[in-house]
Amino acid sequence: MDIEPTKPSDSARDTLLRAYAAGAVTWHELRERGFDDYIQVLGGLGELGLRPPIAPMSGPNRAARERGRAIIREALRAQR
Amino acid sequence: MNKPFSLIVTDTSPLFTLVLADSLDALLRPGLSVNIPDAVYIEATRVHGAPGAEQIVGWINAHLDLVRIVPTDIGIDQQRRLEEGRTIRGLGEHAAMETLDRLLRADQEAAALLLFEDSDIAKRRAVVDERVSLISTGDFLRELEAAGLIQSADHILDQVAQRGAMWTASGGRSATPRRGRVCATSFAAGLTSRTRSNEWPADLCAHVCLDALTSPAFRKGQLPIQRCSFPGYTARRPPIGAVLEPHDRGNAPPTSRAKRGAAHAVRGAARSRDAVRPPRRPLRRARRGA
Repeated sequence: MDIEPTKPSDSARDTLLRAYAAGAVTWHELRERGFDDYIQVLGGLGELGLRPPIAPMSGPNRAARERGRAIIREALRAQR
Repeated sequence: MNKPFSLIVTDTSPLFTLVLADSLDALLRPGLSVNIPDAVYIEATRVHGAPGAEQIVGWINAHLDLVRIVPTDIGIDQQRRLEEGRTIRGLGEHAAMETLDRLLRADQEAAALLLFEDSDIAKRRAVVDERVSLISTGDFLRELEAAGLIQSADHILDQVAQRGAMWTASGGRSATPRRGRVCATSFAAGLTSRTRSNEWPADLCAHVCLDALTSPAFRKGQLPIQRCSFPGYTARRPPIGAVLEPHDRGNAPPTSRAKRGAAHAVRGAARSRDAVRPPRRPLRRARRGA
């Protein structure tokens, strides 16, 4: 049986969004805590004067991300 | 580049970010084929008429040579879940993994680039395969910036957040108004001239508790609206489906009419099941006995 996460209250929502913008909470976690879709997140961030985070080049996927950026870089160069 | 790289969109978030920035075409700049698993596509476009959905559909149709919707078993499961009214959360990612698996199995030379949302890629371990590389929306924008194809990734993300807020305010996909910003004074006075339909959940607006609206806690944004069956209030409630616009003077003190209404509402709210009753005074007899 699926369990729908409870919708966060307004104050909890703002706290979560601030944590998300700071990189402390992931989009995956936001979904588990009741955010339905990413538009909601973007809208909430805008209301708070925040922007979506850009992940620092660290963490468990660093090597795969560096490869990914290199692929895009090379592909963009090839398109010119 | 020797390998045929395929870009797989693992979630709706990169699509929404780029559509809000009017930059969906940026996905095509590297010249890679873009694969959108059916579950991701459905999740992004299933709300008919929702902002973003139509642009995404239009963009895909305009670039069928490079953009492909990939059918998956997860997508079939998603359809079933939608029909049964069950949650479809996270199915996009599963569908992306299925897409990746099919792609790598079908072609030993194939290599894939998975497009993730930034916070997820930073913390959650994704697939480990030499033929698979990852990129986040932010990484992608940074590369476009470095290549001089966009002015600034940060500027794009600022724009995205601003437009997201405008969308939400204008009754976007998830059009639940922020309760703390509804003007208590206007609402309590029964002013409905500035209302709009289809934005407030109909079952909520008919039973908003005036007591909650006029309380100091609500005006500080600490108290959610409660349901209230107070008849004096519901008699002059706004029409079902009406909503008051978010008001800058959300902290304005209530008018005298609102105060009178609040006094009634307090009595009414005491009867409602949501009311918090003050502790009862002990009976005099009991006190004397003590």
